[in-house]
Amino acid sequence: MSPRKIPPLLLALALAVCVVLAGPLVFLSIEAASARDVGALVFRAFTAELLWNTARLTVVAVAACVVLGTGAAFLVERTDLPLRRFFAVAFVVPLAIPDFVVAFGWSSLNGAISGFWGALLVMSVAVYPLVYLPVAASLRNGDPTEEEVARSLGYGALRTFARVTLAQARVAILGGALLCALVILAEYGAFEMLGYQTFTTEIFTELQVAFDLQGAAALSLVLVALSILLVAGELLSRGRRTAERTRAPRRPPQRLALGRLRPVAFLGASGLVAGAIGVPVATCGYWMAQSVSAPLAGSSLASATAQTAWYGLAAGALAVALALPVALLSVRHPGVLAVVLERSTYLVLAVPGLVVALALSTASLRYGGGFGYQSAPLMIFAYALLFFPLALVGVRTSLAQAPRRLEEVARSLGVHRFSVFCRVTLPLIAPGLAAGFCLVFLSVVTELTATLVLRPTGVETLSTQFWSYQQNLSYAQAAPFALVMVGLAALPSVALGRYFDRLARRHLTSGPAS
Amino acid sequence: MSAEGAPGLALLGLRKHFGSQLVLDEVDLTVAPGAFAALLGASGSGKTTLLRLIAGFERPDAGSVVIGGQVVEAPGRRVAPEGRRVGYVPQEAALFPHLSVEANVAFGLARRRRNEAVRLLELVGMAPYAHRLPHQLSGGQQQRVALARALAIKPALVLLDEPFSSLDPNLRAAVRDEVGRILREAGSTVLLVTHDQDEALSLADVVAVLRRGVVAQCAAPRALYGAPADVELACFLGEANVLEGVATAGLVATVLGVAACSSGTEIAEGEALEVLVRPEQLRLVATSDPTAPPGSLAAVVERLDYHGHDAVIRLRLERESRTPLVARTLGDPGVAAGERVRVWLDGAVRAWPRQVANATRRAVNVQD
Repeated sequence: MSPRKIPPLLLALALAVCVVLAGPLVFLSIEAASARDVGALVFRAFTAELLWNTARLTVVAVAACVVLGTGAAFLVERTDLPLRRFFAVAFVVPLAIPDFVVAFGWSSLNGAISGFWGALLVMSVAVYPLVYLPVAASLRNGDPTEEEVARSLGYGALRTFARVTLAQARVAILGGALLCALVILAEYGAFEMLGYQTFTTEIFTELQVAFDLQGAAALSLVLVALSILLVAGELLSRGRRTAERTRAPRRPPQRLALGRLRPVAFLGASGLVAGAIGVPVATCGYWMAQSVSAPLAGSSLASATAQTAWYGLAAGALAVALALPVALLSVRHPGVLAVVLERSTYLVLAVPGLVVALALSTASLRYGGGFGYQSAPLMIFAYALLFFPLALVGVRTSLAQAPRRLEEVARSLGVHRFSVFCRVTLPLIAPGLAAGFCLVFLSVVTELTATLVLRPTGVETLSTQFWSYQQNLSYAQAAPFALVMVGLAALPSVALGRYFDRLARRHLTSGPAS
Repeated sequence: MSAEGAPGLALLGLRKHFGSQLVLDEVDLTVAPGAFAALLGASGSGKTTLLRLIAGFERPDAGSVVIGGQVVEAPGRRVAPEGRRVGYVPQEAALFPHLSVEANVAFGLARRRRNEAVRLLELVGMAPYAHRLPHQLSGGQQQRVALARALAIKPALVLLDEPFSSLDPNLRAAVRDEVGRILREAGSTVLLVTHDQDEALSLADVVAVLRRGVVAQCAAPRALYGAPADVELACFLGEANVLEGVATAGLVATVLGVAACSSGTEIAEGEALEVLVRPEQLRLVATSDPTAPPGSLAAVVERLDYHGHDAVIRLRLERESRTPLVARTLGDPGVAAGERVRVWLDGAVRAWPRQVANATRRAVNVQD
């Protein structure tokens, strides 16, 4: 619509958030620049090897995730797969299982599962939900009329799927693939466990073993450059999809009858669930059973749980609070400035957790005289930065669905702007805020890498405690931490799943009579 | 409600542009207190922008807005939307989806006046639905709730933004009449924005036509339809035959013969004119019918569109076949395509000097 004057307070807040988000990258660049032989460190044969390792795994695993995620979404949303409602939940649950727990499950099942193929297997089954979720949403909300038109124009079921359905889901698939790639680039725990070397594992080693901050910073920049390339590529390839949807009433799409393929599809879906949830949970259960003899550290489990939950809650709230002004600016005052600010915050996506942690600890040591170093506030701040894009997505989506017109009507009824925000805007976007909060909470609970670097001395979270037991090969003691972590992380996932489900159903069934 | 003698709404020299595009150019408009005014314009004429300026959602580049005697927009002075007492009923009703019908109506009411919502819901006949949520209502019901919500604040001015266009046609007329009745009973000054000529002409006391950012004409419905300011307006307000004519002895001569004529400007003897003949002014009967008056002309029916309550007949005169004519009859005209008929002009016509007409002429014989 028209360019309207941006409230100065909103602009100031949004700018401040963006500056804060850009902070880590700036610190890191300064640090790397001050390293003595950045060139020598970065441009060596070993870097090339790391690059090759990282790139080939990323490419192949992302491809696998796209196939698994899109296939699973299609089966659930568009076919008569048995137990669809169960699978709709089961396909999302792996989000709550950290990659290093999946790796733990598989590698303790069979020691041969390691290296490239092991990493490929583990990352595919652990990360595919990042493709599944957006693609399923897109398939659910897509306009079935387009497919019907294609069929009426003489396209068979398969060609319609390839030319129309997949085209509708293209943006979702690309977005999901990008997230997968970023996660794989940033992964540390799983690869360390499977003995596969990537940039991230090497940076960690550089930092923890060699205590070489500047070297780690320099290597991080390569990683960031890779990630930024991916984000930019996704933005470019997203293209412009400007065709307006007709406002025809939504009908649920036609489901494809699988016929004789039904058992095959069912087996495939079950296999995926078994690989992604069954193996890690069963392995942890097995080790728990073994621990009957070993003394279970009940008190340390409870304190780690409380610690983790507290970090998750605080970081979730902070991230949502930071996302609110940026989302308000970009949705309510669209313009060049808003686009630039919003897009720049997505850069955070490209910065792996380890790098953020590194940058923050560097900053606090170098410029803050150690102030805040390894303190709880810095930890929470790091989480909020790291998972800011997740919060932003939730807030932004719901704001976009709360029409500005409603706020205008509210104001014309004699209600002041701020009061309108509290009485109309907030209630309308509350589900989105909750969704963003849940996503951040889940991510914090299952975060390992940044936590290992930044956690306050003497504090153990569920993931760090699991990690240290597992490193000592005390699998029986590690297992309960993994299970509690999954349970804690799954809580909001389940809530989230139900929320999206309800949302979708409301949109399908009600849509004001027009 | 309004200051004594002050207009219900006055717009003075309102101007607004978006980027390089001038949307409103010196809009002047005055609406008497308690009057029901319609702002009629094609899409893109700037009518929604004008409405948003009045409500205070946008700022004009220049000009002022006075509502019920209170200056709400003027150079150096601006009253926020919440201070204008404008009851705004948007196109899609825009009820707050998280609030019940009753809470929607009570939204603008002070806490101690919340119980008035019930009375308002009774006024619009929605009292039984007080506890429903908006998505459980039909489109027409939503519009009535939106109206009650707007009336709750005892508005100095009610703005209706194409409130009926999203309703399905069967419902539209009924809701329209109902809303018109409620608003007249409430006695508020009303500005209805619409692109629908029927709606504007049938509902409003006064209709302002907005064209390319200026008010082209503002008059009572009959005056507007019968005496539009120029040919383009005439064509916009309804289907029209525009014929060439010549002024002769106070009358006008066209291919249809000589007819009485009115014009807003002085017309000299022998001046070339453009002449407006409404389709309903053309009468026709089958050639065999003896009731055709003397002076009726022979013509051939080219096409006939039968609508039930009326029929639109396109025809050409046998004598002068380059001018297509369109006639409208009530009910069945009793003729068929290809048939020969006799046609004549009934009543006085409207005419404009040709040079003026040409200057503003954009479209001739356009439908709606």
